[in-house]
Formats: sequence, C-alpha cells, structure tokens
Amino acid sequence: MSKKMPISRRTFLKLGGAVGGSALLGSGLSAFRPALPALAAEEDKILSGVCDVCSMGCAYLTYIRGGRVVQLRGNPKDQVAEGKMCVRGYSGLRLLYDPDRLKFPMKRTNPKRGVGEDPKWVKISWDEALNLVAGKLKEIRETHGPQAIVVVARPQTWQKHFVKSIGTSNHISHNNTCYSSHEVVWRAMVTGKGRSWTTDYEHSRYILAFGWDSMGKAKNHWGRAVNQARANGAKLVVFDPRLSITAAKADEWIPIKPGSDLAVLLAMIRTIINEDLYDKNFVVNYTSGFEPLKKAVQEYTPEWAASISEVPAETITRIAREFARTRPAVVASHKRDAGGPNYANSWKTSQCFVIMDALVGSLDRPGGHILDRKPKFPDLTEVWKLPNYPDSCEGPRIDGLEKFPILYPTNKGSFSTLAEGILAKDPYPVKAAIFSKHNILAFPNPARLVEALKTLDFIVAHDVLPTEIVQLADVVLPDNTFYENTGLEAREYHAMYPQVALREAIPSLYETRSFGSIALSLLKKMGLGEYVPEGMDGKGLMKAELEALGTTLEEIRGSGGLWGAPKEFKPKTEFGTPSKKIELYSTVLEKNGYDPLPRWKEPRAVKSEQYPYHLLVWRKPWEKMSQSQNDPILAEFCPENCVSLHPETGKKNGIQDLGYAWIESPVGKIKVKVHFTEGIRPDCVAVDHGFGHWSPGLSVAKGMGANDGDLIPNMTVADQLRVGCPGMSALMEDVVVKVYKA
Amino acid sequence: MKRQEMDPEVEERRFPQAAIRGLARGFSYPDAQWVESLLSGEWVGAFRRVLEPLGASSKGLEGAIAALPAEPAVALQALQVEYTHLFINAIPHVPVPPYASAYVGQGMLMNEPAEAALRAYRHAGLDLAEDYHDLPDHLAVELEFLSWLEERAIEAHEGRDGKRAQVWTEQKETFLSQQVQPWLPEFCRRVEGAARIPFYPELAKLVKLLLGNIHEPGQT
Repeated sequence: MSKKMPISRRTFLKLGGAVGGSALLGSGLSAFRPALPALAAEEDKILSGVCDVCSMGCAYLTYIRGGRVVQLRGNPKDQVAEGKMCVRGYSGLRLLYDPDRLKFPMKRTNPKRGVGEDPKWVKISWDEALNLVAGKLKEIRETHGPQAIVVVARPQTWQKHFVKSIGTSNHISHNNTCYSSHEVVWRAMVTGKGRSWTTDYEHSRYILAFGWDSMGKAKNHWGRAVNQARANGAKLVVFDPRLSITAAKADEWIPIKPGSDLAVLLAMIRTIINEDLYDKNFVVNYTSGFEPLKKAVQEYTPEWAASISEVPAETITRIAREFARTRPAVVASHKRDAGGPNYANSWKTSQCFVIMDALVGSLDRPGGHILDRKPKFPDLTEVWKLPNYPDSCEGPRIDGLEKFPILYPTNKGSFSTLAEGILAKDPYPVKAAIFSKHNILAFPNPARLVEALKTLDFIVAHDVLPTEIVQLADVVLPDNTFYENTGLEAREYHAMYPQVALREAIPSLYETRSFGSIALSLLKKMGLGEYVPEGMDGKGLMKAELEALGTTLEEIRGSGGLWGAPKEFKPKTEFGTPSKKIELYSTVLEKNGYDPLPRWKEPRAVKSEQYPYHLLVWRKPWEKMSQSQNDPILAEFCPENCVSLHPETGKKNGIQDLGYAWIESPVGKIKVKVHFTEGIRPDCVAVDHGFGHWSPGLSVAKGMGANDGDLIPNMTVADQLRVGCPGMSALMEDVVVKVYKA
Repeated sequence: MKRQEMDPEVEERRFPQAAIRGLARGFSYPDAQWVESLLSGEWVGAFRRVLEPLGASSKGLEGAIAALPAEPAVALQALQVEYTHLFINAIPHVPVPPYASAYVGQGMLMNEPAEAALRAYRHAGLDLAEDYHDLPDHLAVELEFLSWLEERAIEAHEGRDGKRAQVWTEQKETFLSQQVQPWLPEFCRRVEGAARIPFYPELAKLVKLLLGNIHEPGQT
C-alpha cells in the first residue's frame, strides 16, 4: 500500500484473529492522504477564464467552492464580454460536469468496428494509450509514409506542430464549411494574410447585412454594439430569405432570393460609382483598380439585379444611396453569411463586401472593419530551436488543398473533399485518422465520411464527449474542457488596441489531457524527439508569451487579462497586398488564375420540378453542436429542430403546422417537425443546425431532431475545381430540396 | 507491537469495517493483481470470513467469481469491459455513474454531494491522494472513507478513549446516512438492471445489505 495511506495500512496490519487476512480485501486502495492545511483554502477561489464555446472568446470569472465550480460570471473588465455571458457560455458548466464525459483513456476490445457495434471499451492508463497510438502511427508512417495519417484538428499551435513534425500534409479543419471564402478574398484584396474579425459596429451609422445573423447566433458583443449603434440613430438593413433574429431587429428586412446577394451587390456598387457617391479620398489614396471595377460593373443595372434577386430595383438603388451617404457605413460580415462558403458565387459576394466597404472608406476606419491589432505571440521556432519539418508536410493532400493556391498557405484543409479522397485513395491510401474535437456531423454528407472512415486501419478520437467519431475509434483519449486549460488569448474580436485574456485552469477532472500534451508525448514515443526540445510544453510557451508582452502571470492574474488602456486609433494607410492598397482589381486573384473583378456567377444548385425549394440552414442562439447538444437544460428549450415553412408552401404540399415532414435532397433525407412562419420566402425551407446526433454515447442529444448536413452533398476535388472557388467553399446552402408530409 | 486484549464488541466492529473496505476494492477499477486474488479464491475467502459473523452470505459473490473465465487475462478483460461499461463510458451511455451527484437534481456531476464529501474528508483530516484522479463522491472512495472512519473509532476504543470513539462513530454514521444511503438503492437497482455479468450485481447486493439498511429476503 502506498505511503499515502499510513493510517489505513497500520490498522489493517493490526487485524488478526477472526478477521485475519482481511487486509487482502482492501489491498491497493489509496484514494486518500493526510490533509494539508493549505489545500482547503486553495479550493475556494476565483479564477479567470475565456469561453471557448464559440470563437468570440468572452472572458469570465470562475467561482470555485469546495473544489467545484459553482458560478460563472462575465468579466466586466473584458470589452468583449462586458461582464456578461450568453446562454451557451453558461451551459459550459454542464459540459464540464456532464456524466457522459470521456473520463479516462480507453481502447476498443471488440475487433468489429462500426456504427451500432459496441466497442467494448476498457479503461487503460495514459502510458498504455500513448504507447498504443505512437506504435501504430509509427508503423503506418514507416510502412505507408506520413501522408497515410490524417489529422482532423483545429489549426492551432500544437496541432500544427504535431502534424508537421510527423510529416503529413493532411491537417484538416472545418474552415471550408465556415469562412474560407472570406479568408481567401481578404488575403487577396486586403491583408495578404487572413480575415480580421473585429468590426466597430458601435460607431457605424449604417449597417448593411446579407445573410449575416450574428445576433441570432448569440455573438453578444456584436449584438450589444449593433443595438448601441441603433440607439445612436444608425440604420440596420438585412437581406435574408428568412426573418432571422438580426432581421427581426432590423429597420428593414428584405427577403432576397437565396444565392442572389451577389447580383444586388453588383448593382449597388454600380449605383455608388455611377452616382459619384463613393469616398473619393479613400478610394484614391488607399485602393487600386477602381477604373477596371467601374467598367466591369456597368452591365449590372438595378433592373437586372431585380430580375435575379426579386428585390425591386428602386429598393436596391435606395439602399445603395443610403449606404454611401450615411457614413460610417459597413457591410456586416462574419463566417456563414452570404459571403461565407454557402454558394458557388459566395466568394464573389465576399469580394463585393470588401469593395462596398472600400467605397465608403470603412476598412480599418472607425465604424468599419478593423484590421488585426492583436498582440503578437512568439512562434514555437522563436522559443525553441527546432529542426526543419520534413518536406513531406508540403506534399499533395488527400483533400486536394494544394490545388487552391491562395487557400493552401493557410493549411486549413477541406471537410467537403476528405471522404472522396479517402475512398478513391487519391493521391494515396490513408490508413489512420486522428480526430481532435471535431464532430463528423459538421461535415457535409457525414454518412459518406463514415463509409470512408470504415476503410481505415486505425482511428484515434480525442474529445470531451462520446460523439459519433468516438464510437468508431480504436483508442479514445479524453480531452480537457476549456475550464481545465491554462493559456493566453489574444483578443480576436476586440482588436481596436491590443488586449490579452487569461485562462486559468481549474484542476483537471478524471485523467483528461489537452492536445498539446498528448502531441508532445506521441512525438517522443514515435522517435521524433528532435521536435520536442528540452522544456517544450504549454507552460514554457506561456512564459515566452508573457515575456513578449512584458508582463507576468502575477501581474495579470487579478484582472483576468492585459486589457490595456484605449489608445488613439491610428488607421492603416498601407495594406498587405502587392500594391500595398486595397485591390479592387485583385492582382493576387489574377495571378492565381481567378477572375480579379467581381462578376455575376450563378449558384450551383438549380431548382427543378423534382427539387423545387432552396435549403436554408441557421442556428439557434443556444446551439453549438456537441458542445451544447448534450445539455439537459438547453435540450428542454428545444428538444428537436424543425423545418420552417411558409404556410403557403405547407398547404401546397399537404403539410400541417406542428406535424412532421421529410426534406429530401439529391444525397439524403431527414424527417423534421414543421413550423409555419410567414418569416420565410415560400420557395425556401429552413432547418436549424446542431441536431441529429446518433451516437448512443450522448444520452441527452441522441435522437433529438435531424442533421441538416445529411442533405448537403460532399464533393470531389474535381467538383471543387469546376466550381472554381479559391476558398474551396463547401456550398453549405447551395442545395435544392423537396418537402413532403411524413 | 503486542496486541492488546480487546473488547469483544470492538472486535465485532472489525467485520463490517473490513467488509466495507472489501466492497470499496470491489467497486474500484479491476487490475491484474486483484483479479488474480479473485480467481485464486483468496479475496472472496477473506470476504467470507468477515461476512459470516455478520450473518451474510458470500455464496452469490462466489458464484459470480466462478462464472468468470478461468484464464486470468481473459477474466481481467471481462471485468474491465464490464466496469468500463457500467461506470465509466459506454455505448449506449454510461448506465450507472458511480457518483452521488449523478443521483440528485439534473444528474450533473460534481454537485453538492461532491462538495459535501470533500468537506467530510477534510473534517476528518484527509485529502484525496495526488494520484487519485476521479471525483470525490465516487462510491469506492466513499466506502473507503467509511471504512477508515470505522477504523478510527475502533482505534479510539482500543485506546480507551470513549469520547473520541463516539466522535468518529458519529462522523461515520452521519456520512453514511447523508452521503451514501440516499443514492445507494438507486445505484444498486441500476447495477442490477444494466449488468451483463453477475459480478457487480452481487457486489451491489452486498453493499445494499451492509449499508443500505435494506434486507434482502433469505440473506440474513
């Protein structure tokens, strides 16, 4: 028995006579040790944290009593949270303490792997788990080459380091279902890097949105800013086929035909240019390519746009004029809006967003989109001496990303093409996959991905909850929640001046570990120790980051971050493009074989007699896939998702309100409850996202509603090349469906 | 150290104390050494010796052990698969979370019972060991704690410190009635409903018998 149980051991040794031998009964128990007086006080405290349920990253305070988190409150010092959190943020606590959480490393003992098969897990030690995973990956790497390993994980520091160190080019993440169209457009036209996510809505006077529903997605920082702007007299205009929550708050809702936003924007650009309403000073000094743009948009009259979008020409003209005359004005934009990866023409729409903002001078100007000013943290190579990564990590990819040269340097792979790449073994066979915190239901056509995954020799799942991929895994590695991690977060959504938020870990529950810790152990065990120099770990990185910021943990601990004082805003006068200007005619797009100017392009899916409706996808404010779906309280709010139909559409198809209907696309069908609303165009059906879990490991989420992804086609790389989007958009709403009574 | 002459009443208290400790081991994750002692009959033999004076039978448990595969490695895997299925993670979802918190309110873990358990350990001068990575209100830990409190009471009796013995006994009784007994019947019911081999239902019967204040017909 361990020395931590001296009292018990002594007592058991004393036992004799009738109870002789009973020491054996409790042999090996050692859950206790004598109390240390300091510990009790340690467990009643307030820690700082940063929510990771969505990318806004609201800072909060964690109140710990008796070793458990009893309350969360937004950190009032953080200008993103402003002392508040959204319902999903608060629900994070129930994720932390969910009984379904993955608690210890496990391995599958049932040799049969598949949906519906009991994996017959056994709990194993971390040593055994890491040896097992490292041994198998090493064998695959040596036999089939590093490319035979696919890592589906966030594009973050440790994930990137692990993927590159093992020498595979196959780092896959969700970006082409989320924002890759915006990313490539901003890289080409504005930043030379990525897309910035700060917008100064509060000081805008005119906010124009196309499918943007950040208020509906509980991006509360922006919601509050837009409300404040409106209180100050700003106008909010929303083009959306559906009356979204943002549209419901707007001064005007314009129910535009899906996939036609580009037409309206082209006509608006034409109006603003031809009527001389643009900001000449900004256009002359900070943009290039105005004349070719002017020429290119001449064919796009408001009347033409009206014929495509079903928005009256006079409305298009009026709003273009208002937008240009009421400055600062901004086109609201974030990820899955009309410029996000929803339609084959969305990247052109995103191009128009940038041009509209440039024409009114609201790029990196108060009241507009603000370019990245977040503090720079040192790269791993600046902290530790590392050998070069193997050349193979730059090689051809299973998702075909290298064929999209503007997106390729981001190393953010494609969800939509992964399954077909694996199934076709093109350009090579894949043998193993590691999924870290990525849910397969977020992929288009997840059934096809499951088929692909079944062909693999080895699957590792690293997650917080037993989601669908966990059921298919050979080894399960339990992940920390964000409450159990320590680190610094540069403020992505409030970059008017540099801010850093601190995340302090509560003690880890069970035997969970973060990806970074696992990755470094695996590299060592795979014989790749040269990529893990002495002292390389999360603590070492944080120390270097604090040094770079010129502060210490002790200094920022009390306030939960380095909030800084508001500084005078110095607008940028140079941008990250070859001409150092915002390129209205993009030389980067041109050089890479894409049209440098915005031009009308049809969406991919065309309505037909067989599929007469457009599919729209949206998300309720409290839903965030598996991070919130297993929450019993949120599940009470909404036990299943629904299809929103215009009453006319329901009547035409013999469907009743609150009944059930089938939605069917060329790749799949789902059965969902019907909700009639006049807040949708009659030619659309809208399904809310985040439902349809089939993993029996999720005791609350399983069987709730249906997954919209089952209706969305996945793609081959050849499909992607035909569509021609430089961001490999997954075309999440470029889908036509039929609807009928269930 | 030479053993002192003991009060027979005190000596009798050792039986339930040892049995509870045996149950704590039984509800901990099975390892190779323990499974070896199960298959050799050593563990259940020791159990029998403490159960018999309590008028309880170990026959059911002996039968459940006899039903395990004879090969130690196979028996170990069978018990680990079953333990993981019942108490850790399972397809479908884990049917019997072994934590007191899972049986109150919304069923979230680390609820008030976990805090109360931790408080009780501290009050008794204990902390959870550094290498213990599970929650404070896990059944195995609560049982180990009960057994430890009883040991302290017995020790105090041996030292003729009746007042101290009374304090330890009261702590044990309070912990048992407030922390363990409220969820024990539901826990045992779920074990019996979800188990795929008889081992854990047999342990559940014994824990209910010894601690649940619920007498199974024919067993006493």
